Amino acid sequence: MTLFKKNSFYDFAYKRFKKNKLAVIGAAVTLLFVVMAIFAPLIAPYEPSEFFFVEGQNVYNKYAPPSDGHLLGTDSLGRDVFSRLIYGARVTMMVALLAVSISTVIGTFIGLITGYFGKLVDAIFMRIVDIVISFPVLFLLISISTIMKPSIWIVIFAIGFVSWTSTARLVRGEVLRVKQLDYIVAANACGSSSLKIILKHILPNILAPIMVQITIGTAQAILMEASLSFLGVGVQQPTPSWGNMLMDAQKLLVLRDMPWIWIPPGIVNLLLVLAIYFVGDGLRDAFDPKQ
Amino acid sequence: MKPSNTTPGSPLPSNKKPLLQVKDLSVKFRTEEGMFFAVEHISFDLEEQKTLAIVGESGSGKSVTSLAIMQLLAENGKITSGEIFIDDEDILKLSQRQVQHSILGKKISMIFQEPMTALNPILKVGEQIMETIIEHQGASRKEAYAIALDTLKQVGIPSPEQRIKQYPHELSGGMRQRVMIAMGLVTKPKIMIADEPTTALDVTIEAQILNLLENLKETYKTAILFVTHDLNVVADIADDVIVMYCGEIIEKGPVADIFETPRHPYTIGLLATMPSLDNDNDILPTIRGVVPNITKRPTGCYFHPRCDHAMPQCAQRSPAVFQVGQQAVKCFLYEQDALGVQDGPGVQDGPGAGEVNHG
Amino acid sequence: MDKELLLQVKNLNKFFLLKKSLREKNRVYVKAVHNVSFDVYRGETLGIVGESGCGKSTLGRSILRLYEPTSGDIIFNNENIMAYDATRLRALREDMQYIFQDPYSSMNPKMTIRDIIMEPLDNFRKEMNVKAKEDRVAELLEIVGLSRDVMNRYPHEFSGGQRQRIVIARGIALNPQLLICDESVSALDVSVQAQIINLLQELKKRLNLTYLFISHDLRVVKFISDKIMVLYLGEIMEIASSDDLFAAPRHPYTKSLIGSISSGDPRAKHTRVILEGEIPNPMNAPKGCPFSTRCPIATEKCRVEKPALVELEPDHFASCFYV
Repeated sequence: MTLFKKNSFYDFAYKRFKKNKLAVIGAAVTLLFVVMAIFAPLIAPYEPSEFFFVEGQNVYNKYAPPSDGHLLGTDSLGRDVFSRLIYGARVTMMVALLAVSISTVIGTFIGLITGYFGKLVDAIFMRIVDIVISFPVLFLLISISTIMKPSIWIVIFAIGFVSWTSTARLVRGEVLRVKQLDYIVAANACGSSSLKIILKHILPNILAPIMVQITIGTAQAILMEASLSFLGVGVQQPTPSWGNMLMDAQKLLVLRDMPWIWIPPGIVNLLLVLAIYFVGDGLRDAFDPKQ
Repeated sequence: MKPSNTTPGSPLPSNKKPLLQVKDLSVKFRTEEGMFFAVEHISFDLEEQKTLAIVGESGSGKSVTSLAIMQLLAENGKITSGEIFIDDEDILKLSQRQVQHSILGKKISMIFQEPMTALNPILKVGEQIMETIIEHQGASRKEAYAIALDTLKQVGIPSPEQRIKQYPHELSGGMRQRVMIAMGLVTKPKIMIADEPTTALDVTIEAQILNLLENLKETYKTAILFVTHDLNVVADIADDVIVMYCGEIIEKGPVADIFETPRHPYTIGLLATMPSLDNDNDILPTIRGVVPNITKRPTGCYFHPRCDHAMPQCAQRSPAVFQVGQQAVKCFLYEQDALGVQDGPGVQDGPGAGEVNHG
Repeated sequence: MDKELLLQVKNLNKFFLLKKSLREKNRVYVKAVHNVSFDVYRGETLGIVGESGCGKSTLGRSILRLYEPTSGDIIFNNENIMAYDATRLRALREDMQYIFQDPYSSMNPKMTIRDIIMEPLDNFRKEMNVKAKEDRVAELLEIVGLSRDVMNRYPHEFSGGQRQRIVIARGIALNPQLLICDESVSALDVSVQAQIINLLQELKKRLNLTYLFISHDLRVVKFISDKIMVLYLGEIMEIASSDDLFAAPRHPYTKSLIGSISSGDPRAKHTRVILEGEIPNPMNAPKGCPFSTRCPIATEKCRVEKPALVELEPDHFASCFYV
């Protein structure tokens, strides 16, 4: 299989990545979750927000233990945990990917500008970064959710808004490193414009660490979504997410006696985050042959 | 004279016993494309108070040779055959612990090209020298300090009382190299390996360091194995010269002979390509082509694709080593000379120094 | 033959600010290039030698205004390029090119050889179509001794010497008048170094180029240059024709520099001139003559007063009180 131009940097990296077992397993697991999210309606036995009743009665079938009808039992409102888990993958991943896209775009842009132009631009933007880093996210979200109607978009923007800073810092550092290399000076010396130098010479050469940052950022965004939703300021019911499925575990009774409600979302969360981290580590090693 | 066996060159005539003897040493490196020889069947002797220079371009295996002797090969490198005798003891038969304990630093020490990376950046230079002394001589800290100070003085570091308290980054390149030399000296080793010790230095500083090494050789009666790419430095400091190409010794002999009557076409070419101060031509003589990559070495004599005197047999098999006068040459051109009735050099059939490929 | 002045550098200074401060007297500068003036005639090669920290690379980059000079004039083809704005400066790149020391870092590893050599053409030959540009790239590759088949390969597939050829091809793509070679052969093996030096010599004739050849290697500089300038701590010590400088060096620094290089002849051992001491830290450069701390003949006067660059004989300048 030839994914990349032979002998290119990415071709070598791909070869090295393939040799890393943990990274390949991580990639496979991640892919499995992605497939599950995409084909959720085909896999899930029920709708995620479908309520079930105790047979013959007008009472919700709450906290039902796993059975043939409900593989992982039902939750506090009588919904099928397994179906919610599968649909939850969609929400969780969408939130993570969109948030990471936002943070990558903002972070890369600001990192490139500050790193390349330096001086005043750099000073100003880096202070903005400092301010954003010191922002209490949770407090911000709780305040927003009390003022506005909580929505999935607010969560996405909130996560994106707080996490671009690490990308910006990384990109800025990489730009500073690459900027002093001879080929940048050479591009300057043969009359290329700043825009061309940034897009053609700098960006392609710092893509590798950005890609690593994207994977790590995705894992972090999944965790952040989980914590926010667990606290009730993230993805709101009835939309299922792995985070808000854990909300039920806030009740001692559930935590103690009904593990089927909180263990599955906990495990998938852990699995996916771990798998993505493995991919991230694998990418980092593949891109840096010295290690 | 007869062609010697596989080991290039019989030892140069001398009644001294060699301090360091390398016999039939081969080193292989593992790359993504397989295992390849970085050094192939090389042998040489190093005698007391002599300076033996190993010259070659990148990929010649000159640094690998010195690292193999110090047992400092990178993880993907492996000694596949040969013996390395230091004081009649084959150090390749010793355990790693024995080598570290009783050979490295004690009988043999090494000076590197870039002292900044060879020195520990977070330790004061005094501490680093003292560590070696305490380790190898079991001296107390106070004694070690006195020895360290004395050694720094000997390597010509001004105001050593202050320098001993400084960190490597606070010293200039030349000073760092002196500290490295001091570290190599404190245990009074018999053999010193200097791997491109002056390449990173400015000319005036290079001259100082070369002078220092020569003086130390006299004082301590050390033997120096000097690895370099710079033929001018070789002319200045070496007693004997080994010329390496693609991991093989292609010529070996006393420095005056090598420079006056180089035999191997590669040596001839190399000497001719050096811009000299009294050369007024427009164009330098060159050796055509490039040094082949370790994974793509040609068959037969490794030099034949670049050689103006290549014969059909050169592409088929690797030449043996022939003794011509004081020099040992690995080239078919000297097959007849060496076997012939006449003793002594037979340059008339060989390539003369003048007829290198011009332009 | 009438000599045509191509480049004139007048009192060029380049200071790097090391310690910022609002008050001028608290600021710390490194005077990387200090009051440097010289002329270069068309078709000539000026060698610039000196040890590390002497400002030779800074000087080379300042002439191209890759570093913004602190003060001074650079007159190129009778125009003062210090007065140029960014647009005209970019246009100037057509006439002045720079060849770097390390052929490994001077090419973008993610670009093909074709794109690398085409970049200056993309910037300045907008009227050329892709086919024409590609033909020009092929032609350039042939000029520097490579085949056109290498176009779609990446820099890492080439050896040091081949890379330097590619870098040179990019450098001459726009038919520049002045080529600044900064240690361009220093990183190469001896046998390859000779090939590249020959290539540069050949190109000079063929394309009527003028070189500023920056190097620490006196042998190479002697071989390639018509005129040599010796720098020490950012200041000119001596300028003379290459033959004069080596036959009769006047400045004590030039003398010891030439004396400290190995003879290249094993029989001439132990004739090395040893210059004691080290190059002072440019931050604490001596007040007087920069060489006064190591000079064997320095006097009190040298330590407090800077000697001027004096023309001792026609076209032979040195800055020393005692020449």
